[in-house]
Amino acid sequence: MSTLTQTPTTAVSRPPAGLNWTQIRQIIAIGLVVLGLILALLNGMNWSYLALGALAGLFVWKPFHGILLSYSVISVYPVLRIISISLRPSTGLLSRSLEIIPPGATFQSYVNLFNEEPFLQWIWNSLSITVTVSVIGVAVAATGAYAFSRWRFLGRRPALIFLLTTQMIPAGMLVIPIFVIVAQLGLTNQVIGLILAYISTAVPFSIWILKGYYDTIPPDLEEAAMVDGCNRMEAFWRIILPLSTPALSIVFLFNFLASWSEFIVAKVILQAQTVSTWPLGLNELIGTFQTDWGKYAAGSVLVTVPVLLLFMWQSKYLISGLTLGSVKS
Amino acid sequence: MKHSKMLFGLLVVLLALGSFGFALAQDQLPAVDLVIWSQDGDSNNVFLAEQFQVWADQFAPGSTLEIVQKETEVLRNDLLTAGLAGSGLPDMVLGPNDAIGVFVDAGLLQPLDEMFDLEKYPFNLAAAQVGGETYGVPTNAGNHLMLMYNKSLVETAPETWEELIETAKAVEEANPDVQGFAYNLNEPFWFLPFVHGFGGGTYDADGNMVLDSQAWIDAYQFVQDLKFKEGIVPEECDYACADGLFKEGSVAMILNGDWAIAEYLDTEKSPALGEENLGLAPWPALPNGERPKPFTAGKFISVPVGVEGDKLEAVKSFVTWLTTDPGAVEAYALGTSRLPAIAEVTVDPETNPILAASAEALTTGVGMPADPTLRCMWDSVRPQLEGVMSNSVTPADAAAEAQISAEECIEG
Amino acid sequence: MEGLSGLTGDLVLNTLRQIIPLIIGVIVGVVALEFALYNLLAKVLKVRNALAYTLLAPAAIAILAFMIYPLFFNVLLAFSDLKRDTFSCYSPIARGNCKLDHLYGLDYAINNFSDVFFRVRNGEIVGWGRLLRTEESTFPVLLGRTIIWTVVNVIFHFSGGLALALIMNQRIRFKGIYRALIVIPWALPGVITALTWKQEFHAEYGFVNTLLESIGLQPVSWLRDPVAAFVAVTFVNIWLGIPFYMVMLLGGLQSISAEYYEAAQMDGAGAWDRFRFITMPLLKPILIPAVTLDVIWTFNKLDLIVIMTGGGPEEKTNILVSALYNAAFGTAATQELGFAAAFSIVIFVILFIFAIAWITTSGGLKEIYDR
Repeated sequence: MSTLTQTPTTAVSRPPAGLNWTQIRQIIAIGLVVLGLILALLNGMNWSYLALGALAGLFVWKPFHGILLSYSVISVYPVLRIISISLRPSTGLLSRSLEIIPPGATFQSYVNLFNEEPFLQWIWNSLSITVTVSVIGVAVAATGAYAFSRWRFLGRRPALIFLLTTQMIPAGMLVIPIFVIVAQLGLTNQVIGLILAYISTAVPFSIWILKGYYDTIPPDLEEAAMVDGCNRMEAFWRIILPLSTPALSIVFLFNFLASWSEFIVAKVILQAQTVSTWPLGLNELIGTFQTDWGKYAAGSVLVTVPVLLLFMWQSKYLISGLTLGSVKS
Repeated sequence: MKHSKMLFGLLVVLLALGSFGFALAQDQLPAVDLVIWSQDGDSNNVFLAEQFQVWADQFAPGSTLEIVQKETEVLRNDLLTAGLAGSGLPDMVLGPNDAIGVFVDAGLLQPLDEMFDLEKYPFNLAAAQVGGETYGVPTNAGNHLMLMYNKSLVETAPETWEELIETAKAVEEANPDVQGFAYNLNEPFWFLPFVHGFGGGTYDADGNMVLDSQAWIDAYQFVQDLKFKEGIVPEECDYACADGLFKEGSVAMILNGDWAIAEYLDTEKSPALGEENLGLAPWPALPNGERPKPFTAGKFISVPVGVEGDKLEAVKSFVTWLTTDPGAVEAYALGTSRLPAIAEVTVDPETNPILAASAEALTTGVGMPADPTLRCMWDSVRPQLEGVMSNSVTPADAAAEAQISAEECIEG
Repeated sequence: MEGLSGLTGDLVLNTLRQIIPLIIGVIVGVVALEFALYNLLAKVLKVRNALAYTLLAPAAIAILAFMIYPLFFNVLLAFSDLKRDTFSCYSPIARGNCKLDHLYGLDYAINNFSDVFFRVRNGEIVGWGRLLRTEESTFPVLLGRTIIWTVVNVIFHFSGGLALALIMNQRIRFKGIYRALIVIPWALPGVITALTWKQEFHAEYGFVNTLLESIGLQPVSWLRDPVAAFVAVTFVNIWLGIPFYMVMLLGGLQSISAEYYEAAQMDGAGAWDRFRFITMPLLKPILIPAVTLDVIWTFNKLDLIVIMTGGGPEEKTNILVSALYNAAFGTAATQELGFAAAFSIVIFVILFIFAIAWITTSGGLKEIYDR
C-alpha cells in the first residue's frame, strides 16, 4: 500500500534503499522464467509454461507491470477470440483450441460475408444514422448544457434531476410507445425515425457531461470577451466551445458508440432489409434456426475494430473530458 | 443438390416458356409491392423469392416481394406492436401454426374461407383453424422433428433409444473428436414428442390443459436420465450447437426438423453432410415400445387485417398459385426439401429417398393445435424443463409446477 | 446481390436524400426557433434569463418528443386493460368486437398494479404476483436479486477500477498502451460482447472451461446451472464496468495536487492515513456521480442478461428489468401490456427513490447543482 498512494511527483516515499530487495526480486524472477523454460522443454515444447513463468517472474520483479499486463490480457483476450473464430475454416468453427491463429486459417468468412450478405449496406445505414445522431446530438446538447452551467433560471434544479431521471427509465419500457409514435409519424422503416429516437435518448447524458465541463471554465473569460465587444453567443462560440474540445469529443464518442450498436429500438423501427443496420444484420446470422459463426465473427471484427481504434485514440481525452467536469479546479 | 438445381432451372425455363401463351389469354394483375414476414430460415426464403418472381412475371409483372425474416417470438411481438400502432403490418405472414391462435385472438388476421379453395389442402388445414374459421393456407406439411444422422458415422438409424445410446457410445469410442448424439434439450418443442410417446398430451378429452399427468412425469424422468444417467447428451447444447456440430460432422445423430433438411443437403453449408451422408429416420422407440410423436403441422401463409384492394388480389393469386400449382409446389415445397400439402404432388421414394424418409417420419407425429392457450403450455414447461435438465427439480415437482403455472396463464 | 455487398448508388442517394434535409432542417429550424423564441421572451414578454430558456429549447423539444410523450403513453397503458383478448379494443385496425365498456380507467390501473404484488387465485391472495411463469419471477425475489446484482457489481467495479487507477497513477512506463488496452471492454458494442462471452462460457467450447480444466479443475456448466449462470453474467458485467471507474478515478487522482501529500508526510501521516484522509475525500466529487450513474446503469442492465442467459435457466438469472423485457417481448411474453406497463412504472419508481436517496445522503446533490 505504501507506494500506492504516492503521487508521481513525490520522490520522498520511494522504497527505502531497497537494493537488496530489488536484487532478490530479480533473482527470483529470473528463476521463475528459467523454471518455465525447463517445464516447457520437459513437456514437449509446450510454450505456455514459459509464458506462465515469464508472467510470474514479471509479477515478482515489477508487480505493477505484472498486474497491468495481466489485466490488459483479460481485456483484450475476448477480442482476440472473435478474430480467431473469424479466421477458422468452416469445418472447425466449434473448436476447443485456444490458439489465436487457428490451424488452416482463412479469410473465407470475410469473403462470404461480403458476397452473401449486404454487409456494406448495413454499414452504410449504421454509419449514416450514427453520424447524424452524433452531430445533431452534440449540437443540441452543447447549447443546452451552456444554459444549465451559466444561468440560475427557474426550474433549473428539477430539470437537472430530470436529466438524471431519464437514465433510470428501464430499457425496453419505451420501445412500444416509441414505435407507436414513429408509426404515427409515418417513419417506420426509415432511418429518420430511428435518428429522431436516438437523438432524444442521447441528449440528456450529453448535457450532463458538458454542463460539468463548462462549470470548470471560469466565467471571467467570457466576461472579458464581452467587455471587448462580443455578445454572449459570440463569447460562447469563440471561447467556451474551443476550450471544451475534450468534453465535446467525448460526448460525440459516447453518442457514436451508443447508436452504433443499438439493437432493441432499431429492431422494431427498421423492419425492411434495405434499411437494416449492422446489429440487426449480424443478429440474423445467428438466429434460432440458422447459425453462421464464421460470418458473424468476421462481421463483428469489421464493425468493432474501427470503433476500437477511435476509442483508443480518444482515450487520452476520455480522462480529461469525463472527469475534469467533476473536479473543482 | 446439383441435380435438383438443374431440375429447378429447367422448370423455370419451362414455366417461363409456357407462360407466354398463357399470359396472353389471361388478365394480368396490376403491379404491387408486397411484404411478407417469414419465420422460415434464410436459405428457404431464397426459394420463396424465386417463386414470387416466377409468379410475378406471369401474373403481375413488376411486382416485388420483400421478405423480412423474423424468429417465432419476434414475429409474434412485432405483429402485435404493429397492430397496436395501426400501421406497419405486412401483407402476408409465413410461419408455423402455433402463433395463429394468438393473432386470431388479437383480431389481426383475416379469415380465408372465402378467399381460397380450401378443399385442395386435405392434410393439415385443421392446424390453422380457430373457431370454425381458417386463418392460414399451408405451403407444406410437416414442421416435424425427426432423427437425423450422419451416414459416414452411423450406418443404420437406431430403432430404439437403447440402440441409440449404444450407437452413440460406439461412435464416440471410434472417433474421439465426435459427439455421439446431441439435441436442443432445453426447448419444450423437442420435449413434447417424449410426452406424446409416453401416452400424454397437452389437452385432455374435455379440452382442459393437463401438464401433470404420469406421461409428463415419465417424460421428464426419461430426458433427465438421458443426460445424467446415460450421459449421452452433451452437458450443454442448444439448437445452434447441435446444428453447427452436425453440419461440420462433429456429432453423429441429432433431432431436428424438416426446415433444416435443405441446408443439410447443401454441401457448401454443411461440409460433412450432403445427399450422400444425410440420413433421416423416425424417432427411436421408448422402453414402452412407442415412438415419441413430434408435433406436426406445416408452414402456413396468413393474411393480416388491412390488406385490401389490389394487394389482396395479388396475395390471393400468389398464394393460390404457390400452394396449388403443381410446378410451384414442386419448386417451393419440394425445393426446400419439405413435403407437399396437396394431394396432387407426391414424393417418389425412388428419386427422392430423403423426402420419402421425412414423409415416413411425418406419419409418426401428432397434429399441433392452433389453440391460443398452447402458448401457456410452452411458457410453463420451459422453466421446469430447464430445472429438470440441470437436475435441480424432480420430474414430479416440475409437472406439478407447470400445471399451476399453465392454469394461471390461461385464467389471465 | 446487387451493388457492392448490397451497397448501391440508389441506396446511398436515398439515405442522403433523407439525412441532408434533416440536418439542414434541424439547423435552420433551430436557428429560426431560437431567434423567434428569444425575441418573444426577451423583447415581448421581458422574461428574465430569456437566453437560457432559448438555448434549452431544442434539447427540451427533443426530449419531450421521444421521452416524455412515450413515458406518458406508458402511464396510459398502465391505466388500460390491454391484453390479448381485449386487443381489438385498443388497436385501430384489429377485427372483432370490443367487449370492454371503457378503455382506460382507475379500476384497470388498480388491477394492473395489484397484479404486480399479489397473485390471486379463485378470489384469494395466494402469494406474490408473478411476472413470468415461476416463483422466481415474483416481485420480492426479483428485487432481491437486482439489489445483490447491483451491489456486487458496483463494489467490484469500484475496487477494481480504483486499484488499476492507483497503479496507473504511479510513474510507470507504457502507461498509454496499458490505458488503451484496458478501456477496450468499454468500447466494444454490447451485443457483440454479450454473444462472445456467451460462447466463451459454453461448457464444451468456451475458453473458460478449457482454462479451468487445464489447471486441473472440474468444468462448470456455466449457462445451464442457475448459480453458475448468475456468476457468469456478473463476471462479464464487472469486466465491462471496471474501465469506466479506472478512467474516472485516474482523472480524479491526477487532479490531486502533490502538495497535500507532502504536507501530510511532514505531519507524519502513514500511507493508509494519506489514502483515507486525502485521496478518498478529494476523489469524492468524482466518485459520487460515477457511483450514481453506475448504480443506475447496473440496475437497468438489460442487453447482457437477455443475450447471455435470457434470464434463465429456470428464470433464475433475471433481474427486474430483464424479467420485464421478457414479459413484454421474450419467449414467454404474456401480451398483457397494461400489466407490463404498471410493472415498469414500479421499477422506475424504486430506482428513482433509491437514486435520489443516495444522492441526497451522499451530498452529491450539491455537487450537481452548484459548482
